[in-house]
Amino acid sequence: MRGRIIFWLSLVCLLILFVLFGLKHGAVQNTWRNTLSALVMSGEHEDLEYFIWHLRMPKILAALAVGGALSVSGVILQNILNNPLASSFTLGLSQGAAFGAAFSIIILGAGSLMHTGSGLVFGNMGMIAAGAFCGTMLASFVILMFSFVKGMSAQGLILAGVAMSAFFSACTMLLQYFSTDNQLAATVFWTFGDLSKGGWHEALTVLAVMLFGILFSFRFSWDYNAIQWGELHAAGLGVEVRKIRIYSLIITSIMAAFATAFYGVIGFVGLIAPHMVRLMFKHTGHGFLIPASALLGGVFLLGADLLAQIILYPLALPVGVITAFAGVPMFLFLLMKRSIKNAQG
Amino acid sequence: MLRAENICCTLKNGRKILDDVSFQLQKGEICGIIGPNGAGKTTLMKIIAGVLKPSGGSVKVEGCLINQMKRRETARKIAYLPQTTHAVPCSVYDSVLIGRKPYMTWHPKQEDRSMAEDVMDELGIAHMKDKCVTELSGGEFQKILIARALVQNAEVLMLDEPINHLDVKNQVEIMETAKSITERRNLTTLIVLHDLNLAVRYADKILLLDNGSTLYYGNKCEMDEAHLSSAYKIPIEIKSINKKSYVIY
Repeated sequence: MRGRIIFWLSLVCLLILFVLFGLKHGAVQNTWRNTLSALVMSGEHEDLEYFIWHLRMPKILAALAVGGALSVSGVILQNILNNPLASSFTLGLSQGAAFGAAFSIIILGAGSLMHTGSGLVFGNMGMIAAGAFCGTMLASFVILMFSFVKGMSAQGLILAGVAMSAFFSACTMLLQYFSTDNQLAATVFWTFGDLSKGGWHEALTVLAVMLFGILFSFRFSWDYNAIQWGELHAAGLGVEVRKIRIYSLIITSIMAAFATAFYGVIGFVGLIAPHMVRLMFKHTGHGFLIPASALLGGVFLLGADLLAQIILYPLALPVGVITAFAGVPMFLFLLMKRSIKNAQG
Repeated sequence: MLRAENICCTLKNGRKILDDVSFQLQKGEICGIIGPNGAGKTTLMKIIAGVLKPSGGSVKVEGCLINQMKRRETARKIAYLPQTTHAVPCSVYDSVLIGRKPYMTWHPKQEDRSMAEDVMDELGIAHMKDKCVTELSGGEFQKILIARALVQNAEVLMLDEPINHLDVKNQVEIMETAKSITERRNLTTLIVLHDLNLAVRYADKILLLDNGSTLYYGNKCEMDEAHLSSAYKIPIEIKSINKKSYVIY
């Protein structure tokens, strides 16, 4: 119990710290005094007030919402597919989104990348987001169809995800091959996960979806605890495993779809946050794992975004690069741990 | 009371896993299900527990058809422990409390927690409440699973090979536990066993399966050596020493 209190307190402190740094740090540097004065909208620094309230605040909210949504979907997928390496990224949902975005840009002419005074923007961001959303849902629909196949195991679904991932990557490459230089640049740029792509509307939408996802998964947290013991055990405890698996796949797909559609491919958050919590609390149930992963995922993505801005200042890196650099070692570590465990029998 | 009538299970390719298996058990009785590998013991357990639909036949508990119940309702009537190959890293308390799942809406209530604690006291495992399940010995782990099944507060207890991989002391301890809780709580208990001596020693009735068919069902005292020899395809004798039956092979 004491460990959990320390965990929550540390996360809240980190959150406050990252939020303050996130508000102060950006393309335009400011003093703490000016930042706080702009934050309370004193009217002294109108430009800074605009940056804070229209660019930095939505970005912070987006980091928390996207990080939370991807982490919760990771927790659920790892449970229902009985595989610690499962996440929306490893199941091919993100690749589905990238294909959808490429389709919108190249085939539907949703607009190429344009240089404006404030940086790079897409011609029709709404259509690209819609394409990415449809791509994610298409990938999850195929995975869902596989889950209906009688006798299809959780491991089989993971392999289906790997196949879908390869298929969508091939489709995206095919589209890129026939695209113009501008379209190609726009497609590649979209796949860089970047939290500055959206504003308040996008951040609030992902937040609402994430909160719904948390509420849903929290409601079924004891079902997830039972499923951990295996399908037969869970069925013996009265859990409708198939139903839970299907509902959960739908909810996680929606969470991943919204997060990816608005902000691009941000990989490995769904692996890092849940496993960090599991490493810290070795025997914990989903009642704690779900909210803890959501907050840790949000704080992690916020920290990663700050790092992405600071590391090569004044150049800001896409946050997806940082999460991938942090996530790949974690992925390999889990893979090794699993192999050692299997070898030990 | 548990009644299984004409249970059949046929695969799509036409292979029969179970063929017309019927039996009836009263409260307070233990039935040992025995038979060679592939005889259909586990399939029969799954069908009785309601996790597998039979091709034909029915299972009734206290007159209620299991096939027509929701999973949750079935779990309140039948506590089923499948063969367990792995332990989940969670506390002993949580892994017992999860047995209250059929009664939970969102999360366990105080009543569920009290019941879990009472059962842990009853089985003498309360002292390891905060231990991680993965740190337990095989015998302790099996007791935790039995405690979880008891917390389900069901009338029927089903254990699929509960003494696999256990040493002799733990095998006897688990079987003694199963016998004492069956008597104390007036349960109907089914246990799949490979150890014929333990089956003869602890069960009241024996169901001997071979190739999905019933070779023998009835009182353990009336079981014939010929049935066992025919099922296992080796010479088997039943000897009585000091009024106790021993299976020799």
